[in-house]
Amino acid sequence: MGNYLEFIRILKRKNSRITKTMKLITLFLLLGMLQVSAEVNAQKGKLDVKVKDVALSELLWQLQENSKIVFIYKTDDLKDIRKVSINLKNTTISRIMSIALVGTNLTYSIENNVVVIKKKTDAQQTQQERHLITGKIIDKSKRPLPGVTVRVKGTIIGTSTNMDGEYKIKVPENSILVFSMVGMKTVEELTKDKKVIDVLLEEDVAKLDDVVVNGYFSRSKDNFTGNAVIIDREDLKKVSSNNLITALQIFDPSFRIKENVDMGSNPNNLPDFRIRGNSGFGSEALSESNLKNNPNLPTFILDGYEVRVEKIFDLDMDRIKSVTILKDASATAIYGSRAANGIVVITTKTPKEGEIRVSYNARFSVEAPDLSDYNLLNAEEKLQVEKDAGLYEDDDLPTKQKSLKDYNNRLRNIRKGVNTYWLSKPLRVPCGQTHSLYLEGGDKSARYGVDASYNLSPGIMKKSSRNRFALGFLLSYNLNDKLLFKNKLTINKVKSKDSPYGDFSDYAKANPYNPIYNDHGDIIKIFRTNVPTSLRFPNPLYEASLNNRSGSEYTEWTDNFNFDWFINNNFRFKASLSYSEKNTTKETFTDPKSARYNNSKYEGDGLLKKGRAYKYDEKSSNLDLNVVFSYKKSFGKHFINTVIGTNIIESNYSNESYSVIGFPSGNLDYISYANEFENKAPDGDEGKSRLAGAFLNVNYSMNNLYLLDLSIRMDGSSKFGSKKRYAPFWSMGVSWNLHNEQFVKEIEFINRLKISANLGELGKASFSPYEAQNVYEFYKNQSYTSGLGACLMALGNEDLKWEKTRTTDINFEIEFLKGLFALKASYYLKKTNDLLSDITLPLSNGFRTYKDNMGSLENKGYELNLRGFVFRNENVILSLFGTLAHNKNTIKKIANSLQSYNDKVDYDQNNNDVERVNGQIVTSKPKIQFKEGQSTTAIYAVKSLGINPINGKEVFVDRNGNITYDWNALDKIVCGDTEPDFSGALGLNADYKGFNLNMSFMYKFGGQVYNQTLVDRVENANLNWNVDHRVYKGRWRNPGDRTFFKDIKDNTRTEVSTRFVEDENVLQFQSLSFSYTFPKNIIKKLSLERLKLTFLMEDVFRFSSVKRERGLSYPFARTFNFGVQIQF
Amino acid sequence: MILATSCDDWLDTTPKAQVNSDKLFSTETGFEDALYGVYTSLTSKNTYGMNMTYGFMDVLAQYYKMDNSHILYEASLYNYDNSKVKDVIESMWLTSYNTIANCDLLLENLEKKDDSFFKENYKEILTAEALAVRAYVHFDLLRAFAPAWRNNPDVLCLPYADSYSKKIHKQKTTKEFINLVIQDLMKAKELLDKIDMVFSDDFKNVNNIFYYHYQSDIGKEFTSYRSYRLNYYAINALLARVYNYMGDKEKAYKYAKYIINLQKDGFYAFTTESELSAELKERDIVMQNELLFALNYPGVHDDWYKNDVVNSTAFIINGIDDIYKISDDFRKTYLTMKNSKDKTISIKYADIDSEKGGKVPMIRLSEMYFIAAESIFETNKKEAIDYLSILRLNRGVNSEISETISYEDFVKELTIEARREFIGEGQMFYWYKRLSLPIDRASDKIDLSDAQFCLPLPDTEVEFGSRSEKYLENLK
Repeated sequence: MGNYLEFIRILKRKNSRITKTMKLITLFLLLGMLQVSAEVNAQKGKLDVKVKDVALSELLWQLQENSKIVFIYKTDDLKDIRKVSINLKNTTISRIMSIALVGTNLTYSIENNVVVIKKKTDAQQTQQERHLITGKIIDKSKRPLPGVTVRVKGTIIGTSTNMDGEYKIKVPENSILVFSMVGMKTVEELTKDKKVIDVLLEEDVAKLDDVVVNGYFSRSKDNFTGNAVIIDREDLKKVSSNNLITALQIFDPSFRIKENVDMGSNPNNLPDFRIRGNSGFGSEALSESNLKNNPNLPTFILDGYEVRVEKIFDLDMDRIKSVTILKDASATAIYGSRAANGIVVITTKTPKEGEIRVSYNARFSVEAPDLSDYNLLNAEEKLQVEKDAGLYEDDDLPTKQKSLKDYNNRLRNIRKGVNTYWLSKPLRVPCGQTHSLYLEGGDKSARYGVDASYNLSPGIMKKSSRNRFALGFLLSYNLNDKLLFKNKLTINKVKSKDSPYGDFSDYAKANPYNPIYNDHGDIIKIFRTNVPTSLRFPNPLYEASLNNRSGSEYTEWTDNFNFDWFINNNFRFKASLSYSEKNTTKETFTDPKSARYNNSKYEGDGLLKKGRAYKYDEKSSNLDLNVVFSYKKSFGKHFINTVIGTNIIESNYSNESYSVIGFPSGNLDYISYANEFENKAPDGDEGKSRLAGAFLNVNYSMNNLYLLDLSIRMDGSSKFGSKKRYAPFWSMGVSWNLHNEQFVKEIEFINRLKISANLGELGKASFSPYEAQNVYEFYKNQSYTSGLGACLMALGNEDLKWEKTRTTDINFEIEFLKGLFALKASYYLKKTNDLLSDITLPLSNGFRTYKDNMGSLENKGYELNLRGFVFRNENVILSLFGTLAHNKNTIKKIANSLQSYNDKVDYDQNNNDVERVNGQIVTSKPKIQFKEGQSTTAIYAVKSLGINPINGKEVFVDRNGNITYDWNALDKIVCGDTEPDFSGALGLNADYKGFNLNMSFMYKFGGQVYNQTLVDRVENANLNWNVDHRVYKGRWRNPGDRTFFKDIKDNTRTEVSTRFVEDENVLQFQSLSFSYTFPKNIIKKLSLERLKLTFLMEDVFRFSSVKRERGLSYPFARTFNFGVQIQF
Repeated sequence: MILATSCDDWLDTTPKAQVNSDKLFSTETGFEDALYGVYTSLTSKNTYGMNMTYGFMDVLAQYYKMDNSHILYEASLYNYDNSKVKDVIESMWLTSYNTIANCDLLLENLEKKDDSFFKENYKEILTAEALAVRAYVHFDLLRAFAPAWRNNPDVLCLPYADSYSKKIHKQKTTKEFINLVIQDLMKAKELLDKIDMVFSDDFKNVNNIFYYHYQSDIGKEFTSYRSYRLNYYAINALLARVYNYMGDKEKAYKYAKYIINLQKDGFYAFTTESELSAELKERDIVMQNELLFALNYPGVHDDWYKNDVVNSTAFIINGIDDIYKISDDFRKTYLTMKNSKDKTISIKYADIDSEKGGKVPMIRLSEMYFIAAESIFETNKKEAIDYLSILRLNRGVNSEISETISYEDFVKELTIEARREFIGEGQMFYWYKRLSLPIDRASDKIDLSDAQFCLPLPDTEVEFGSRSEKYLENLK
């Protein structure tokens, strides 16, 4: 025996334990390197052990050092033993030893303080290996669960369940089995002496966001190397009642709606938005049709198929199950040519098994106009301002007399009490409502779901509305868990009406001293003046009293068919087909009595041209076919998941429109009453585009620690030129799940730690279908002797290709203290090349421009996402979250057409004669320009030093740095950027016994804005109309006055200067929601399953450093929602 | 491989409201449509539908009394820097080159297609006409923008756009340019040599020229309506014009003489007084039997009417009595009238419902007489004088020209006559420019500098084509 054994001496170490631990953590965080060290704490016979990946000998050595235990073993026996990781507190030496020696061929015995370690006898070994455990894994509804991972904790031993949910595994004695599956709660079981272990896995609702759904397949978050933001329905509904797009801003700081100062809360206004900055040169004035080819819009995928933004805009939020925003190359590469602007994947609810279950949601909303941005004069003030400004003075005596008569009339009105608050006249406090009903049920094999929803969204401007109806039927059939068929049919109908009250700005400028009705109670058509003027003062309410109308309507039906075949544990085949058809009609009607016909053109023969109706019909259809084949298998610690798929899309649209004029009266508004066509020929447009793509994604994970993700997609699109028809797109990502590393596992307070990086090349082809072709158009109204001529419309470019975006992304995720605090940070660099631009040609090529890939843009930035629980116990949960994003947009290269556009802007601004409409200046506005090295959202203006106190003139700085009074467009500098430096959201969520309170805020700062209100409504204010209160304050009057505004007598046009560029910092209280879910015991009595009451207020308030009029054409509103959710 | 091809086909989507070139040129009719399109594009108001005929070019030739509110008033003062004038020049240039681009793509596709794709002779006809239109338009651009031949034919002036491409076309010297014009015309002429149906007797009868077609032979409308298109005769006439421009008297005479001689065979004829004196509805307001090449453009009447109703656009003849000294001149008596505002206008395009109107003359028989007369004068004075006399006789004008007349005086006589003849046809400015003559304005004369005779290139052409405008500097 003596020969066998060796005695190990103990050496004392100098290092203190504390510094050792500190070092350990620091190193884990910074380097992520393997660290061999240990901490052993012996107290009253119990020990604390914390080692990570150390050699067994090292562990023994440390144990010996910190206790009175002595180890005896043969060095050779320990040589080939794997490294061990143990993290135990207050435990016995025998427990430590059994864990340390699990899976080895060693055994131990303890006598007093001496531990002897030796090799097992053969008998001992075989006995241990023979320990076989079988079992079946089922879910709550007793269905077997295939593909559940079964592992022996702390080892690499593992398997997964078969189609029937059964498994077999050989385990060492006294091990712990871990059962895990994506979307299910993980279960651990001690083996002890059991032979059979059956397990019921429960669905992990809270862990839904551990799965990333990309429309083609889903991936566990651990196996994902990309950047995704996952939002579930409950969270969404706390933020917005029926506007998904607005709600997304709260969850992703890079998802930003472009503020539309004009359109306010118009229910029919489709928002314009982007993820991570502008990737193209979009046009400023985006109309609905422009959105079709908007170069900045992300792609929307609804239940696996690409859909238009409008569909998402009209989607009933109650149908949504979850939303995933995919942002970087790894996440989006399988969408190839459509991926560059990011992908938003939306999945809708699927029915649950069981007896028929009915859910009913009702919501009632009240909207209140928010006019706090307006600061207008009242009747008395307005008249005073007019008088002070000399409007009633004239050198010509008769004119002066007439104008004095006007003044007296107005004064008399005021004395009579006229002080019309025009702003409120076209507005109302509308009540909207939404009802959605969902029926679901079925058994294991056949299930059904029916949803119906009805939403009335009246707008705050009278008679404007958007009403939506939706109906959906889902049937699914599951054959022995091998085959799954699913069909979903949805029908949507949306009706929108524009307000006949017209543009809100007409009310903002109407004079408050004018009454709406005359003394007889009739509505006044035009406010007449005694002074002869070409200016017309129509009563904006007059038009609203007529039969003018404008609106549109669409009906869309979609059928999605899915076929899923679980071939075996490893192979799966999925095919899906979607077809949708949409019919859109738009109609407008102008009453022949409209004031716009008060014109000599409409006298005599022109009488027959009064009144106009316009009709537009569009049909579009979409076909989308996906076939996906996936394979997954684990080989020991290697896990591979491969998906190969193909995808075909065809979309068509065609539209016709015509307008007719000459209606007998406003009531006879049917199109057949018209007298003639307005134009000789009808209008129409048509487009068809096709896309065929194939992709491959390989996801490899080693030990769930190191991940490699490769995607490649080949897309062919009919939009590209015939020479560049196919395009490859790819991505490559790696990530490291540090939280699965033993050394991190031992840091108790870290639950999740992941670093990932990826890069790839994505595309977009946001141009209309036929840009690449030489398109001929036939002459419409002219034939040439014996035939119709066809003429080239544009110089096609067969070399035209997709726009390419190269993205690089680095993501870092960390979660502390069981989710108490989590941080996600990403950095990205996106460079879009080959931007589609107009290239100006010498005219001798026969055309002014052609389309080519020229120009590049860069976006880089970072995003931070923080979430933490401030307080958490059984009853109360209080959590906070915050997001922050920074994006820098830089134009790298522009085409010559943009260069000449820039020059033209300068030229126009310099040579733009002061245009006066009715004696009043048409004010100047800053123009968008695109210059290399600048951002697409930069503001260009001439540097101003303010108003000279001596003479009240504005002082400029020219391009040579000299001071001048002369404004020159060539002196313009970049003096701001409408994109903020930082933007994001903040929020709070509190739960207490069924009560929930949620508040969310949005903020942005560091951006600039050109305060047009100060120009239009103050300095260059047209005093014939109502103006801002500031009109008389702060203007220069006498030498020595230090003012912001120039000389009050100076009525020249104010040119674009930095004086009006203001820093814009905004804090917006976006939503406040409060809800109560009744406890089970109460609702059981009502034989309900769930009862919830909610209150939600949207756009609660807004603080901005810039005081300007917002909601010019349509005002902003605050929304209050009351909702009830019943399930039985 | 098969999969790839079929995928390719599937990705080939074509617009419905329009048609892409591959689809258009997949049928013979498509080729016809493209050629009709070329001719139709010539009728644009930017070019021969107005500004390169009765509009801008005739304003430059001082035919009209310009109200100072007239949109082309600044053009009548040769203020080429004026922004409105610039716009007109730019649109003339662009539309011309657009027509050329249409020809180029048509020619490119013709070349791609096998002969067997077409009916007999179709490919030749299509190719010849496309080449001839390309040459015609180029030649007019040269006459308008480049310095006159006599200034310096070796200086770089205009690009010759002989391919459909986004590549920049090289600027050519006048000499190179004219050679390309001639090359295109010669090629067209050869293609039509012997096969052109205008040789057929059916085309002889003047009354048949336009109306002639194979009524029993549906599908041949394309070939039968060729009398006013750039057919074999018109190409010869155009060659006469080109050589005349270059001062190549021998060749100019040869081609002009060829056309003049056709009259003996029964082709083309001077318009008779009875045709001119007929009721407005039947009056031959464009003297159609003399037209070797004309655009079919019924819309010209609407355009004219729209111009005529307001002073700021109306084209009022300046000094009708200075132009037509003899009151019996048919062209004065029958081809001018007073408009609704009692101002004298030409009726070539006026809205008077003439069945014979709706055409824009591009080359007419009388021009061949002028060319022949000018070209033969130095070798055969008598013959030259005869040509002028014949022409005058047919216009109701007596002509007594002394046999001892000098060349200069003879040219002056020709100019007087041409001014009467080409009213509203956009030819006179080029006439003055070629011969370096002062421009007649009513009874005055305006001397133009060589530079004033050159329209400036559009700014965008200079900027994006990096064109040299050296020739203009040389003229100053």
